[in-house]
Amino acid sequence: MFGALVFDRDPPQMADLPGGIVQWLQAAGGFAAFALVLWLLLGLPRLSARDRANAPGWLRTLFVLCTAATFLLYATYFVLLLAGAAQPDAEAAALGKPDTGTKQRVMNLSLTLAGAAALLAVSLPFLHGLGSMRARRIYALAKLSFKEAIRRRVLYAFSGLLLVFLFASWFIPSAPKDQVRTYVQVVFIAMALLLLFTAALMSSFSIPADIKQQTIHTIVTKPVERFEIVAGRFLGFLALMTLVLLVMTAVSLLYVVRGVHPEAAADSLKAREPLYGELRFENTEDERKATNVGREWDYREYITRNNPTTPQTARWDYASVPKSLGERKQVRCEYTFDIYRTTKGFEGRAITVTFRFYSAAYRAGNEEKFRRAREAASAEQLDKLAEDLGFFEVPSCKVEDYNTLAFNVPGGLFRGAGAPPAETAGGQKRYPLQVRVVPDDATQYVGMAKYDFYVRRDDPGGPEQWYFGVNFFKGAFGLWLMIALVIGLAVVLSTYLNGVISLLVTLLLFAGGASRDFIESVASGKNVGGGPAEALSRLAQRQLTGPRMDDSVSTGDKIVTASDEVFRWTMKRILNLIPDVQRFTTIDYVSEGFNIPLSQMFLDFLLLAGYLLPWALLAYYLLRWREIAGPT
Amino acid sequence: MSDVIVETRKLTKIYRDFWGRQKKTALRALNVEIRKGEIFGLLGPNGSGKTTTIKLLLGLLFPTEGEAFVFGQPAADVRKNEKVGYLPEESYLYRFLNAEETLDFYGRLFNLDPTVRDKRAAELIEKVNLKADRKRPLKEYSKGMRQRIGLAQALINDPALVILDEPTSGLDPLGARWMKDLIVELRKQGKTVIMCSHRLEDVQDVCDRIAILNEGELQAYGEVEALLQDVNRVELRASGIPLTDELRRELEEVLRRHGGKLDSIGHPTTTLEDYFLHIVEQSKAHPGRRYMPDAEPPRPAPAGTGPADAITDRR
Repeated sequence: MFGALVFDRDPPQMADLPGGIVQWLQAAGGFAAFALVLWLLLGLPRLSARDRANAPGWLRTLFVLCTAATFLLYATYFVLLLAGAAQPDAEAAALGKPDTGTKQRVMNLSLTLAGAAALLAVSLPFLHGLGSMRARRIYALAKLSFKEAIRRRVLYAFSGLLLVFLFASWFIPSAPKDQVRTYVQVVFIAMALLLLFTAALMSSFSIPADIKQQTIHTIVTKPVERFEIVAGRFLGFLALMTLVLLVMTAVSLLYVVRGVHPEAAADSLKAREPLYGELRFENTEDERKATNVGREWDYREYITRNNPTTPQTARWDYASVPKSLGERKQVRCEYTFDIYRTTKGFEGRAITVTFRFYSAAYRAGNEEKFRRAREAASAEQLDKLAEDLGFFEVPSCKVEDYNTLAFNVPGGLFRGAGAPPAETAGGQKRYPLQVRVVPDDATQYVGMAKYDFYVRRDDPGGPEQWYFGVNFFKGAFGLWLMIALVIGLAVVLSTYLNGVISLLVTLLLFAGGASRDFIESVASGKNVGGGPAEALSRLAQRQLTGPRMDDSVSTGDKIVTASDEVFRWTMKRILNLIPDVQRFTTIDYVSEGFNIPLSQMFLDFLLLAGYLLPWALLAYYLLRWREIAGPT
Repeated sequence: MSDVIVETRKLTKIYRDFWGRQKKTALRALNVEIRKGEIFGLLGPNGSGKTTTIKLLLGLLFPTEGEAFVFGQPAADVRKNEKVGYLPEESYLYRFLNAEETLDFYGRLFNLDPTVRDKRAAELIEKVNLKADRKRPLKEYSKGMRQRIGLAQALINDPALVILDEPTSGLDPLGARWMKDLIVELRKQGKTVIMCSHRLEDVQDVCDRIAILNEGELQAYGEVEALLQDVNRVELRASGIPLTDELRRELEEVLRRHGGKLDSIGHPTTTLEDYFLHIVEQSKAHPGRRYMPDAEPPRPAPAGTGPADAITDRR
């Protein structure tokens, strides 16, 4: 009855943060280095001696040092690249291990440090100017934006949400199992459309309108740093939209909670906290893959009881298990598997699987001890058994398509899991907790993905509707990030472009972000059919299928693939300009009844800040170098 | 300390199109110095470069060549704006704000403390006669009221230099006179004022020195009195004596003896502005009085009694 989460990409983890920072430094630093080169070629020769003398000595020295470091480190990188250091170590490649050679590490480090140095060099005037900025001025400008939007009756636009509240129920199916999902998605989509478009519209036209109506003349002729105008406008619109979002979220929550069927409310108004493991397969050719049954959507891998003694098995490895689980009597586990039938099966007999839990306390032979003792054991004894033997088995668990099913395991199992892994048996790494799923049927396939099985970190007995309410607001935080993104982009672009163009570019970048996965697949050459040159060549030669051109030795094919490489390189740079909008879409968590982790919210916020910072830097220079007045 | 507040050195502005091609030379090698405590007028026909000069001084435009300094700092440096007040030609203010909010907003931009901000805003609203309308949004203001609140925002920081672009444009004679009186008062307070105007009589009334521009070139530059003085002619004014033929003959005789000749003799006329203001004053002083076709038309005010004296007393 409950929903399940489906991830095309793994959600962000705190462990990804260092890697993300390195990636950001390399990407943003690349753009900064490009800007630095442009300035050295075009800006420096035009700089008057007086302007040069105006900059403090320490600033000039630091700038020269950073610039020199940038070029030196990039030179190191390119020298190593040309020397072939990027080629993976042959032995490591043969073993399928990632290349961790010294040269590769030096290359990575050079690229990261060069990016950091370039960013610092480009940011120095901005950082120096930060000292002249005053919160009072930024607040005044923010308040002005706030009042402007209110007095120009922009807020009337949000009454559009009333339409949803009034008429959406006509189109929402009344089946309890879908109600919460649909209600949540409808209100969030309506809010997103209203808020994002209004935010883009307001922020795109504010600075251009100020310039056109010359109201900006009375601002920039005061001791106002130009970036204060950008910051003030951004914060003002953001404050307004935050307020509107809060009100709309509260009203929408009320609408959802009161609108759904009581059965659906009891069943689906939740904010579950799942504990996911790493999915691997046993008795298959590849531990990361099982059987591909030919479904177009290859999200899940399928297993069957192909061999009674060594059946295909799915195994979830948990690298750590919270101690709090061991303090409970029962711990809820939930799963949502898919069935692929090769026979009709038997009437009245469900497809089943068996779950086996192994904690660190497990030793060979404990399964049999458990099975022998299980029949006569009480709940307390089972708990003790699971703790001592480090094993627990739940046989014949029913699998239903599109339904999340649940069972409980004793908390004692997790007390055993808290202990560190006991040994490394037969070259296999041991984990504090491993969960194995074995299909019971030899003719039917059961499909599963990493996020299809989880242990509930939270206690199902709690005030779940209250948690759902909190989670609803957490979901709105994702929307808030998108609003901040749109406002930030629109304000930055409007420092140079006129209102209409700013709006269009903002919407284009946002739309690009919504289809980022496809652009990424094109940029990394993972899409079917190759790059544009290869696709054109195949069309011309009427070879829509055939061997990959990358493997070809023909000169023509090499030229085609080389030009596609240039295209891909360009696409990768463009990809850096496109915001990762999908990352902020957390509506599925709310609609499917899963808690949005605070760590994820924090990482999403960092992602947004990381994306907007280089744009802010761009806005600083665009507005600083811009002549505010025209000839008339 | 030098008393030069504004200095331009070969200040040049060339407008270019998107492709960098030269479109128009708005200002060519302007060299002027504006001293502390004076009222300096920038004159010229449309497109002569007056407003471009002001925009360059305010950092709204960047010079193509040459330099401009305000308080010894480059014109593009925002720090110099701490001591500058600017009233644009049109009162480009936010029309959804009221007078109090407007002054509060601009006061915050100067990073003024709330107490100082509130005190100055109240004083200025009083000074520009907008106390009764301080809560009305500016979009409901007349042109004159907008110009007055514009002036108040230019003075919120108690500036040492006030730059006024066409300060009397669109104002009725009463408003224009009020504005000119205020400009003179600013000088009395030791402030430096730069104004550009199409209304030459306004400039003549209040300015100490002027620069006349045409097609971006400086054509004349100096003290108003010195520039306007016609040293080849002599003006004589007398009072308490009727204009008779005998007087005329005797004057001609005297002038002939000194090698000159009498060009004209008659009663002097006042300016239309003074006459208008006198009529309005009289109308306020005698409610109910109106124009009668057969009655003697009202005479101009005797020298030293009209509102124009606020200006004529200035030097």
